[in-house]
Amino acid sequence: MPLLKIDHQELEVAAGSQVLEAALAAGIEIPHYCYHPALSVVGSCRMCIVEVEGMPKLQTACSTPIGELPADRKVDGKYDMVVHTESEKVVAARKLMLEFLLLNHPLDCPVCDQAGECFLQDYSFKYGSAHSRFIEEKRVRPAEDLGSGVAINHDRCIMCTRCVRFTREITGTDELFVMDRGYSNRIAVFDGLPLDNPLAGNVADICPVGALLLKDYMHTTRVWHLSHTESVCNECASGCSITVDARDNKIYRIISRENPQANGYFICDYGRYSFHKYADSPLTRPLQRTKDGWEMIDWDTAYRQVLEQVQATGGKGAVRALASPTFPNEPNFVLGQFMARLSDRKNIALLPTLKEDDQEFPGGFRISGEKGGNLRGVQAMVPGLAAAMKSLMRGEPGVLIALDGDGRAHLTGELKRLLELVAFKVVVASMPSDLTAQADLVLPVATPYAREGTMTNDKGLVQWLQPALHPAGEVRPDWQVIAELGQLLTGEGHLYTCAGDVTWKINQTTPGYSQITRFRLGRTGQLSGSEAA
Amino acid sequence: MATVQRTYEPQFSDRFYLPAVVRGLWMTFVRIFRRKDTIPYPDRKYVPADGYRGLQRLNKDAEGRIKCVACEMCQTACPAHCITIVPSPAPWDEGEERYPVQFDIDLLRCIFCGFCELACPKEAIELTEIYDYASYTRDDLIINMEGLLKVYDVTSQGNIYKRQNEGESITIDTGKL
Repeated sequence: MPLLKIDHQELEVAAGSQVLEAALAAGIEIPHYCYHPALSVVGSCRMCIVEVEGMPKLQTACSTPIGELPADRKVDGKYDMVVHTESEKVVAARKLMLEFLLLNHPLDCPVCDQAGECFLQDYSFKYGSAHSRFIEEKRVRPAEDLGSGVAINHDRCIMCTRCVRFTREITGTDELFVMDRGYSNRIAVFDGLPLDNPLAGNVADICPVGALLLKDYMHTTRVWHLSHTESVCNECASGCSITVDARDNKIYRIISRENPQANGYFICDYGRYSFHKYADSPLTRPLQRTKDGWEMIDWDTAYRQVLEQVQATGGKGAVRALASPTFPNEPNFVLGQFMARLSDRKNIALLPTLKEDDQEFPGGFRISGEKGGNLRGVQAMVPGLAAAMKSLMRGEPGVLIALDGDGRAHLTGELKRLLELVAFKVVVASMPSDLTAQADLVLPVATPYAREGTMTNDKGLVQWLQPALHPAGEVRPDWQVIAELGQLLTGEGHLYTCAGDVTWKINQTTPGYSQITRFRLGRTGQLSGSEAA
Repeated sequence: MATVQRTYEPQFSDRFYLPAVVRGLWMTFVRIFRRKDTIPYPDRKYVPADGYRGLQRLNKDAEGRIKCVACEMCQTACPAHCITIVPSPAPWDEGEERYPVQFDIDLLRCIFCGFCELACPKEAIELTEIYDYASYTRDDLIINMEGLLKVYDVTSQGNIYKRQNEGESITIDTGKL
C-alpha cells in the first residue's frame, strides 16, 4: 500500500483513494465545500487545495488520487506522496479562494438560518481574511422557491453543485442544474418542473452555505440554541438515524445523521417533517369513555377500571393484546412477557399498519413501504406473533389491550371485527387516532421523539432511541404502562426502573439479541440475530 | 496594652469650642450662595451623562419599521438571559426578510451591561437614559416589543430628562410599563 505523508503524519492508504478522503479518515482537516462522501467528485470549489511535493501547482485534495511510486523514485526514500496542508503557499491560496467565494456574498449572517453551522463562516474565521478588496457593486439576485419546501438564496451560493449532483446521483430526478455560465451562473430548475422528490429536503442539509434552506425551518430559531438529540426515525422500517433539534421542549427540525449501516447520509422528507404530526394535541391524561364523550381520569382509576373490566368480562384468560410495530422493542417485550403468563401467548397478535411499495432511489436510498417502523423488532420480541388475528376471535368477549403508538394503526376489516367482538378496549397511544376513537379507555404514552428504547429496522439493525422532549402532562413511558398493566393482571411485580432495564432483560432472554446492550449500541447501533455473526 | 499617642494637644481656645461653632456657621452661610449639589427630585429630574445605560429601546428605520431582524445575537450575548425573541419571516417585500414577532426583556433580570447593544449587528437595540420605571408588580417589568418601540418614540428626540426639566411634558407610556 502507498505510504503517504500529510504534514507530519504518516499514513498508509489504499492506492486509488483521494488525498482528501485519506486526510479526513486520519482526522486531518482540509477545508472543503464541494466534496461530499456520498457524491461524485468535481473539484469545483477549489477550497481543498494542498501542496504536493513534486507537482508544480497546488492540487485539489479531493481529486488527487494516491498511487504507488517505483522504489527508486520514492520521496525521501520511502514516501509515495508528500502533502503539505499548511504551507505558506497553501495558506495564501486559501485566503484568496475564500475572498473570491465571498465576492458577492451579502454578509447577511444575522438573517441567515445557516449562521452557526455555515462553512463560509467557519472557514472565513479560520482561513480567510477580515477584508474584501472588492469595491464594485455586489451582485444582488432575488431569492426563489425551488419547490418541495426548499428555497434558494442565490447571493449566498458558492456553486459547489452538491445539490445538483444530489438530484442526479442520489434521487435520479435531475431537477436542479447550473444555468448560464461564468459570472451569471446559478442553480435553477426548469420552468414548471420544480424540485419534486421525497428526498428534496436533503439538499438543504448538504448545502455547505446558506443558499438552500428549508422553508419549514426558515426564520424560526438559531442553530446554537438547539439541543441535538441522536435518535431514530420510526416512520418506516428503514430506521434512519436522525438528529432531533429541539429548544424549550419543542422540535424545530430533524436532520439526517450519518450511519452507513442504516440510511447512509440522507433521510426522506416524510421522516424529516414527521415531528409536526406529533406536536399538536398529543394525549396527556388517561381518558375514559362516558356517555357523552371523554372524561379525564387519573392513572389509579384507569388501572382499577381495567382490573374491574377484566374480572367482569371473561377473566384473565380472555384478555387479548395487540403488539405494535410503531412502538420500540421494550413495551412489546413486556407485553409479550405478561401475555405469556396469562394465556401462553395465544391471545396476542400484531396491530396492522399501513403497507405500501418500497421506494428505491438510484443512489441506493430506500424508503420502506412497511410503515410500522419496528415490525422486525416486534416479531423478535414476541415469538409466534406471525399468527393471524383469527386466534383472537375465539372465546368470550374480554378486554383488548392495543398498543397504538402514534395513531398509525391501519383499521383493516379484521381489526374492525375484533374491535366489535371484545367487550372493553384499552388503547395505549400517544396521539388521538381512529383506533383511540373506538376505545373505552385510552392510556397516554410519550410521543415518538420523547421515547426511550430500542428499535430494530428491517435489516435487523438495532438502534437506541434517545428522548428529545419531555412528555407533557401525566404521560408515562410506554414500557412502564405495559409493565404496570402486567403487574395488575398477573399479580406479579416487575423490576424495571428504566427502559434500559427492559433492554437488559431482552438481551438476556431474546434469541438473537445477546449482543444488544444499551452501551454497545452506541451512535450507529448493532445488528441483531444471525446478522451479527 | 495599646497606647494612644496624641499628636495634637488641644489649646485653651480649642477647649472653649465657640470659635469652631462660629466658623461652622460661617461655612453654612457662605454655601447658601453657592451652586447646589442636590436637586429637588422629582420636581427636577437628574440628567444622566451621555452613554448612561438605562431602559432599552428598539430602534425604527427611516420607514418607521422595526430595525431588528431577530438574529438573537443580543439574546445570545446576554449574561442574564433576560431577552426572549421569537423570529418570523417579515411581512414586507422590500427590506429585511426577518423580524421579531415577540421581543421581551425581563427588566428585573437585566443587569444593564449593554452587551445587547454591542452585539447587535443592525444597531436595533440601544440603552437609553431612562432610569425611573419602577413598578408595583413583577409582570409590569417585563417589557414587550410594543413598549420598547414606544421607548424609541419617546427618547429619539433627545434626552427626555433634559426636555422634562425644560418644561416639556413627557410621559413614558409603554403599554404595561
